[in-house]
Amino acid sequence: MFGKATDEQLIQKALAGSERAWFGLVRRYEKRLYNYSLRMTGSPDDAMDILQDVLMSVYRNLATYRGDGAFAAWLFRIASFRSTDFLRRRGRQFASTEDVDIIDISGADAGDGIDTNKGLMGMMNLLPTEQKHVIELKFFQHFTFEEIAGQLGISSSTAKSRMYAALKKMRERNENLVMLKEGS
Amino acid sequence: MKTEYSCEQCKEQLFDFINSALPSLEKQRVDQHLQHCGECNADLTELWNLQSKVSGWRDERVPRWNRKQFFFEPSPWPMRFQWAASFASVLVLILVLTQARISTVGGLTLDFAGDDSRYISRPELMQQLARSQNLQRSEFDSNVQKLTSAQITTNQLLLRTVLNVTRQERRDDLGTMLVLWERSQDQRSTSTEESLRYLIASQIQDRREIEDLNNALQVNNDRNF
Repeated sequence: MFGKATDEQLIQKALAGSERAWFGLVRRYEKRLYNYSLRMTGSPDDAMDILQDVLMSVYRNLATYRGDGAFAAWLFRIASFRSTDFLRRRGRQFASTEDVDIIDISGADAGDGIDTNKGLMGMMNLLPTEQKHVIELKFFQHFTFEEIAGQLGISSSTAKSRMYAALKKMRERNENLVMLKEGS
Repeated sequence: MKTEYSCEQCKEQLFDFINSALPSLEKQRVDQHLQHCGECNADLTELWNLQSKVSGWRDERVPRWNRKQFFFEPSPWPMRFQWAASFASVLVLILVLTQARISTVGGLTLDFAGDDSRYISRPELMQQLARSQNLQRSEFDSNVQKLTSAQITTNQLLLRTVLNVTRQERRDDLGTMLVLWERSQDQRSTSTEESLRYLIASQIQDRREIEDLNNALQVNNDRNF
């Protein structure tokens, strides 16, 4: 029943006091949010904390959602704020590099899922938070640059600059890895 | 034919270019620029690599969590410490099962099993209970007796004090009455004395007047004769 309902319908029912509708919304987005947080932090515990923090924030502010844009964009805007705040509170911009294995991402072979996930988390781990947000929202969440700009409160061209800065950082990292491999 | 893209313009289009989302004219201009720009080619390669790698991401399952409790029955414990209660239960179970005994330097001992010599049988326990009850009963009686005798002593003391106070009050009252009576007697005797004096003086006056009358009568009688 709720599987077929739109986000807006679920929101209206949740605002009217339906716990079931609220849990419908939670189930619809929690996996996406959890994986988003996992890539942002590189730690399952931290990802769970961010997921709960974001959902609680959404739950408390659901009445302020005006419905003038996609719910997912609004949700990820909150997630961006909360995850940035979380990483700042933690006093670190990056998750510990000991948590994940940094592997060469230049290869076309994706390998098995677990290694790919670790590699991607390691790659994200290299980036400053603001670049990480752009890569996450563009490549994983498939938002347009205009939507990303709206979510992060920046211009569309700044979002693109951040993406290319991130690409440059990854390229340098890969070149270093190649040099290390050749040296050894 | 339009002019060739600059690097900046090319980069604006690269993401759409790799996703085949560009109109053919823009696509041609990007192609044209890429033929001789190493930097944009490097970015293109990196975009391809990243996109390829991203498509390999396998969504991880969300760990189990109690949504209802989290949103509607918040626990006083933060989510990541909620294992503490279960851990404590398991720890106590292990300590009991292994009959662990923990002693501190200060003499505190936590014994999760104890030794058998400390256990007593049911009859012994009942006897100890009976002894304890008797002891308590006798202590209770003794305390009641002590309290009763103490109460009697207190009452006697109180009565004696009241009697003494009453006696003293009576003595004071009698003294006051005696003083008043003496004053009254003095006043009465003074008054009697004054009355007697007045009476004596009156009698003396009367006698003088009688003697004067007698004398006058005698004088008259002598003249008549």
